[in-house]
Amino acid sequence: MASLSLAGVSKEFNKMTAVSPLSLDIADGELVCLLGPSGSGKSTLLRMIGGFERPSSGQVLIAGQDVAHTRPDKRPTAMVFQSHALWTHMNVFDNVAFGLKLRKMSKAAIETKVMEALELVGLGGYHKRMPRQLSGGQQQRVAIARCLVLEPKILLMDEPFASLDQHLRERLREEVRQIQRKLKITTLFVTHAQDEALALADRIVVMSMGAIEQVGTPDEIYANPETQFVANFIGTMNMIPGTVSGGRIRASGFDLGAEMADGPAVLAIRPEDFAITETGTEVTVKRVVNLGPFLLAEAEHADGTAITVHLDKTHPVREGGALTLTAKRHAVYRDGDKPYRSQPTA
Amino acid sequence: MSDTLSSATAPASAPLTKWRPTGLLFIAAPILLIAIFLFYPALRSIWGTIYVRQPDGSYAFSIASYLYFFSDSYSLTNLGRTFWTTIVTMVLLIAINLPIAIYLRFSGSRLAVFIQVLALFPMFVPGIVIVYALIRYLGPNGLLQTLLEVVGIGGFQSPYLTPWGPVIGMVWDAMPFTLLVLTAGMSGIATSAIEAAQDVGAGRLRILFSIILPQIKNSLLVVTSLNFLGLFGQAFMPFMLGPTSPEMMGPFMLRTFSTVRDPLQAATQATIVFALCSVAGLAYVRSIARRRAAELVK
Repeated sequence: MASLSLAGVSKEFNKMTAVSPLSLDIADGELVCLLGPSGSGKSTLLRMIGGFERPSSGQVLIAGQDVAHTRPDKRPTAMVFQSHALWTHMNVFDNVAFGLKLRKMSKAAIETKVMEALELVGLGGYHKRMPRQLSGGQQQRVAIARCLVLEPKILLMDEPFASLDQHLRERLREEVRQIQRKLKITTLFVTHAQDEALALADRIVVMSMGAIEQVGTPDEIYANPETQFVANFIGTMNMIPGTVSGGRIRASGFDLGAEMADGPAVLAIRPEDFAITETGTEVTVKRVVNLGPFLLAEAEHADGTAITVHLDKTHPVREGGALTLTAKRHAVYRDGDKPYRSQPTA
Repeated sequence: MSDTLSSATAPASAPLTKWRPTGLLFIAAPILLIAIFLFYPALRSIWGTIYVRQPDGSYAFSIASYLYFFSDSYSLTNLGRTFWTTIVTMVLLIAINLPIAIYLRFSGSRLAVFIQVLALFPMFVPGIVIVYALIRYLGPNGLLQTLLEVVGIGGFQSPYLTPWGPVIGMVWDAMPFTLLVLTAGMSGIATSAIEAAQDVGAGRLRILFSIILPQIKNSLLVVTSLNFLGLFGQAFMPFMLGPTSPEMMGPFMLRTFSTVRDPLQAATQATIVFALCSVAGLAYVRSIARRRAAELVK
């Protein structure tokens, strides 16, 4: 296995910047998720690491060796594509064996390795099936086996579960995690699904508009988003526009601490960080949704600001009723400034 | 409650299973026209080649016209020439159009659009115009010969009225169809399938032979079988551009019927051509059936 470093890597298409110069270090055996919305440059970055796009600038260092201008097959990487990319005219065995045959391995060695790879992804006994005879999840497992059989140092996965249903995605991501831990293979996983990234990654790289917004563990990213974009993108966050004055932010009835320069700013409070109190900001409940373990109340302040609150199921709440809220924990964001974060109250 | 639901949904599902003649009535007219103006005359003509009028005016079964065809060296030479022209044209069509289809699939440039328009252009030109344009361009003392002589290249042998004349004309004529089918086949190959092959170490030739060609096998079969049907029975291009002896079956049948005035032998020639084309037709039908079966398995 190997470490991966990106040093000032960028990509431009027809003078349009897809990825701004960025640097990133990924440790040996780490599973890192590149998370961001469509067009954030995460797939382009992955394709540059895999050799399918040439960086406009910078270095792609795998185990210390620059491979920025090396062909995909000459890199110690293997890519799992979003659309499975199985060769439909070949059966499962031939799909997995194709790369080994190109390496002129003996028939016996190929058979052993292919069978091992198929067992690893839970497809033992499926080697004679054609791709069309497999479900979407099984096809993606074949694609993973096709990569793993070549024993790459770095596994690249480009939204591999995007075309699968939620249940299957959850199951497969657990399996991928288990395989990754077993093989200790350095893995880069591109996704736009935050739940996938939060559940799967050792570290998450949040990207927006071709740049890295934040790098951190799932806990760090969720608890302490460093930018307004990350705060808004990861999980649910109430982003309430307000004004900072004299070390406090006033926004839609909230009056909370904000140690930053005076001026307009955005107050950020997660739905689970509200407390129902006797005194505080009064909002009207518009809709209540039972989400199983808790209730989700969609409320509205008198000035029209929508506020989402998570409530204990024992809390008496009804549509049209009033709630008085205070924030147990909040953050304040302003572009260009360091965000302010309150200490959570007991 | 469930009873109420069952009874409520029953009438809605009933019309789906009920047989209605509307669909058959809808296609009855075209099928009738095909039967009257296509199948009946064709079957009558084929029947007429084996149930032949005798000199005494009576009718009897006879395969004499077939025996004549397969013992006549001129007829067999013409059949051989037809095979040669058809196969050479088909090989050239694939050789010319496959690289274009691959280029069009993987290139997003403006040049690709221009090449596609250029390749499809013959579709909008009537055959007679193509023929006369080729005669004026490729014929003796034509534009090509003149241009070559201007730059000092002499000894130009015009393909006009040689076996290559119909080949050139038919390649021009069948190019748009071939390109359209191959382009459609190529569009079914995902870019990621090619990239996945590159990723595991396949070079360009390996990708062509191991990934692209097997995945457009159906398109190649469709192009081959339909082009065979069209080219084998061609009469116009070989008549206008080809030699008179030996000649392709199309002009041979035409001449046997209208000049030699031997309708029985012309019908026999047509039946033989029909039988040979049926093999290509079967290959086409089989490829369609296999594709449908594969889709059903999916």
